[in-house]
Amino acid sequence: MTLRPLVEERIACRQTTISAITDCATANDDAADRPVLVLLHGYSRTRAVFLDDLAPYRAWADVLVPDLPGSGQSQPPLDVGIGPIADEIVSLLRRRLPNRRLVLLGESMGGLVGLACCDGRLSIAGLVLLDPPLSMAKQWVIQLNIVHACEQTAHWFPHAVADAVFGVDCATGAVHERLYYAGFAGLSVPCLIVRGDNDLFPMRSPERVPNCFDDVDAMIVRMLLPSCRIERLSGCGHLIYSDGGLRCHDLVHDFVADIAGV
Amino acid sequence: MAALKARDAGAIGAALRGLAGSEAPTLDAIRPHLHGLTLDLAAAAQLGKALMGLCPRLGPPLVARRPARARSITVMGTSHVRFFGAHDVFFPLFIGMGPNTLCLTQQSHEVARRKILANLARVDRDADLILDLGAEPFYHVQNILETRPGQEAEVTPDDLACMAATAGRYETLLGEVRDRLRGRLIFFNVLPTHDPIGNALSLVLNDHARTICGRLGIGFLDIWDTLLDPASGGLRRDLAAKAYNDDTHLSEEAIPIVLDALRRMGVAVDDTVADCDPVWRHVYAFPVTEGGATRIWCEADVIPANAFRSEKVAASFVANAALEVLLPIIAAHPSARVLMLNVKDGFLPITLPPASAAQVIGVCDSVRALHAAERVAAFAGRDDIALVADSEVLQVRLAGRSFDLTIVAVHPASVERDLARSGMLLSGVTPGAVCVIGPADLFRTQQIPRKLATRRFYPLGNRHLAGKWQDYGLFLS
Repeated sequence: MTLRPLVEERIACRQTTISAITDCATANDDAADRPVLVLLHGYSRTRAVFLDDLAPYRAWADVLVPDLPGSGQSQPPLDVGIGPIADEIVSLLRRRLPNRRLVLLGESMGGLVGLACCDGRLSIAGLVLLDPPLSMAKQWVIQLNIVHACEQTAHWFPHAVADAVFGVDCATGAVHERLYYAGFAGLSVPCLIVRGDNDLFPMRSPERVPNCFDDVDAMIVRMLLPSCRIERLSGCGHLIYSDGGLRCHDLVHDFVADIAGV
Repeated sequence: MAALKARDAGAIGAALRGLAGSEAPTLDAIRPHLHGLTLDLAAAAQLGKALMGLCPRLGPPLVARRPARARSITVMGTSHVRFFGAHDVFFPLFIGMGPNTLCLTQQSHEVARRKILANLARVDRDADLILDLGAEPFYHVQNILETRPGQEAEVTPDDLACMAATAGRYETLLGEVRDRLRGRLIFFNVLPTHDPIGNALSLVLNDHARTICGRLGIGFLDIWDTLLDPASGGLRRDLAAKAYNDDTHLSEEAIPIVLDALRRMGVAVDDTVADCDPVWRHVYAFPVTEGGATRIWCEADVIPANAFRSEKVAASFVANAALEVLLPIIAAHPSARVLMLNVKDGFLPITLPPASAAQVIGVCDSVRALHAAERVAAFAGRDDIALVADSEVLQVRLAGRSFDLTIVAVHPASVERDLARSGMLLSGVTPGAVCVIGPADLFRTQQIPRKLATRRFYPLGNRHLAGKWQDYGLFLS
């Protein structure tokens, strides 16, 4: 089939205007039975991280790739935290894609946003989390990167996210624990977590960003959500989407094929 | 509709009839007819009134909600719940007048049960809940449901049997409510009145209720002895509301007694806000079930008969009237972004019908007010609107934003603060069209921030409203 072109849309949501790249048909179009893969990027990144490698995904799904609120071309929300960011994404999906089968794919913090969207407000067919950071105090790489990122900008939003989401006070360097396991308890959406093999301690490969999701996280998630599928990709660090390339795509495709029949 | 062209009036009339006949009316059906329409303000108000009446005031119950900003205890029941609004921890839902919430007969119990469960579906299941019923002895003595046809001068065996049957219905109901909650359920004792027979029966019913609560493992909030005047054998006058002679509602003076009793039950309640001004500034009414709206009306001393004295009733009337004028303008543009400033407990944004605009942001005056507004919005199923509190960072966070319409509410008790806040928050904002809800002399008596400059005044108040609200109106640019 001929793919629709990717276009940029600006959509007024609950308290922000979100910019997204999409090829999505409306519910009335002939392609409306295809799932929509919603790709959510991580902290201090933008939708651009997904765009170069979208082709294999577009073969079986429509795509919607927003800049998360406060990133890229999207306005920041007035409140800060995973909850307020997820509220905006829920608002976006309700307005732009009512009645479509949604699969959320979130990398790093985008995974936390995706998880928070799966609280029953939307009908979501599947959730894919690429190396989600579920407990923050141990994430030394994130802490270093966040402090560095905040040094590069005076804008209030990255600083506020650093504190609210990651527990990092960039002004003092203090770190507070933030836990995100609770979202898995009672999760009714089929879930796939993809992790890499570049552990936080000790790091195997200095060329790749170490992974956030470790064995402890896997154990806790399995206790809370036994049905959760957890896969490990060798040679991958935190940036699973790009590090894993087609292998990451294949895992996502097979998962969606199982749950949504593509 | 005198100002409408005949062609427009016909199309809008047809669309309104369509809305009236729809099972799920939405503004989308009428939006195309509103776009490009030229209306004078009186005609807009008429049209807005019709739209406000036809569009749902409630969203569906939320399936997910963010954790409450602060400790909250839901209080659900009859008009007796209104005094609870004097303390921020309580979220008082006045779900029906006494006669609508009685477990006196099986038929009335069914009505009460429907009301309670429908409202329960809209509250935070993790919060503790105080169920405040207990009007049965009073209305039994009044024979409102023909349960006491003889009107005997003393308590009879039939009276006792009626109280026992009432208690049995309580037990069924309390079990159902308990099973739907994750928080703690607490049943509030039947309160003393000024009637000896009613009080005797209340004691009997309280004995039943105490036993039932023990059996079901739920709390029984019993402050009967503290409320009773030993001399008169009735409700202490110093703790009674003063809406009418022999008022049997509690006044705000009873709050410390309730807090003490809750603490003795092991319910943690912070009393640091006990001395603050009440946060509730409006009266909400939501049509949750048939047979009367659920109200959030925190004024123990006000009833419909003296509502003309109520600041809250007046504030709500004026805000509602302002929205009637503005709704046709807002709804004409599906992508409209609306900013509302100084919304106190959130009445303006929450009262605007769902899906009127693409984006509605309401700025509450304080975190306390935001906490109140968020609870109301969640109850009303309104996760489509954004509520935030004024703070030292909000001006920075709003900077650079553009809106199509900005509505600034100026409350009589805080005119200067409201204007100053608006000037600060709008300094970095492109506000679009600006409307100010304020007194007619506002622009003559106050320093007005530049961005609030407006030219026209449309009166909204009337002589039946309390105090300065009589002269309130809408200033439009």
